[in-house]
Amino acid sequence: MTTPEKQTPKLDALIQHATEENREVTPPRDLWRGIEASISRGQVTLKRQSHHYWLWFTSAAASLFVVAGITLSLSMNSGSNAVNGQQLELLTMVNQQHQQQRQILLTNFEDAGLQPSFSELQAELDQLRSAAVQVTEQLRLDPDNSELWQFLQWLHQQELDLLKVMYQQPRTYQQV
Amino acid sequence: MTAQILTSTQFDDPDIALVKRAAGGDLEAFRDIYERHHRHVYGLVLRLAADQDAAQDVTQEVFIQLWKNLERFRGESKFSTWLHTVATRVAITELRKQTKRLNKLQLAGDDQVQYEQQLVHEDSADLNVLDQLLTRLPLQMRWVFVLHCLEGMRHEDVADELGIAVGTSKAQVHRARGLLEEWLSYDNA
Repeated sequence: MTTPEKQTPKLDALIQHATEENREVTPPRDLWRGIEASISRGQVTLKRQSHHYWLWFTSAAASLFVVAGITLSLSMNSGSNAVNGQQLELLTMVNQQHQQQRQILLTNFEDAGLQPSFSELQAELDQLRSAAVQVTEQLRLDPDNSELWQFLQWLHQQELDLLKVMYQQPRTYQQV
Repeated sequence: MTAQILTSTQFDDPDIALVKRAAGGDLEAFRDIYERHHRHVYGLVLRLAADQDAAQDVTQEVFIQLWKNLERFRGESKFSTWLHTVATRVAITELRKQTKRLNKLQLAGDDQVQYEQQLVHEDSADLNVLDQLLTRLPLQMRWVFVLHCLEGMRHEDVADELGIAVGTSKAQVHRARGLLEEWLSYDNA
């Protein structure tokens, strides 16, 4: 090394040995799990931030659809309000199927001993469900609106994804 | 993210492919990087921290920071060299934070040194002679000695990393050598 100090054979030999050895020490505990948890939590945080954006978009879009639908319905002949029975039945089935999917998902999480981690996401979940109810009501008035159908399916999928985020949020790791 | 990384071909670096993938968000590739390097990082941090628990926590923090900053690796050196720099920097920062917390717990001065020595004593069976003696050195003196004498950093770089004067770094090494020689002579007596 570059130390100009008085040389001591034993100390220098120890230093030389220490610098030449390929010093690799195995940590007593598995460190990867904590690293992975922290990285995943960071990504969840990013997802949560993005949730705020798409939830804002969802709410705004749902409101627009409802207002536009109501306006359109009012402007149409009252005779045209006769709804298609098969489409209403399909709407009921879609909502029931979604509820079943949600229940299966929640049951699986509970069986695995998982608990929701982000209580603050509950408000966002409620917003999603409220939007789905609004769109469902609008579809009852306008069952031929394919965009509304797609939007409802999208809302259902977002709710399931949000539930996964809430339940699969990794546990905290030992902080420094 | 990866576009700016690793344009150099002057190094036959076995980590390049993994780093490219990890920088693109591939966690499995990052785990492979961890598996390849964590023992070396832990070895370095353990010398700086002189405490197993602290070294483990700091090693975790090193790899978390590494994940966040992989895009900064430009391929201008071997990845292992760059990682060594990152690990040193993160370790010093984190250990400083821990020291401040210890100070807040009023474990200052000699009490803190005794506390550290007490912590290390329990782990000393796994350490060689030099590493055991290093644990007796005061914190900053140990950092300077490890970085300069064992990790081969220049005094200028050590001073820059630790935020001290170059003269202080040299003086700390001189003092550390004196103490180590003294303790070695006791052991030989």
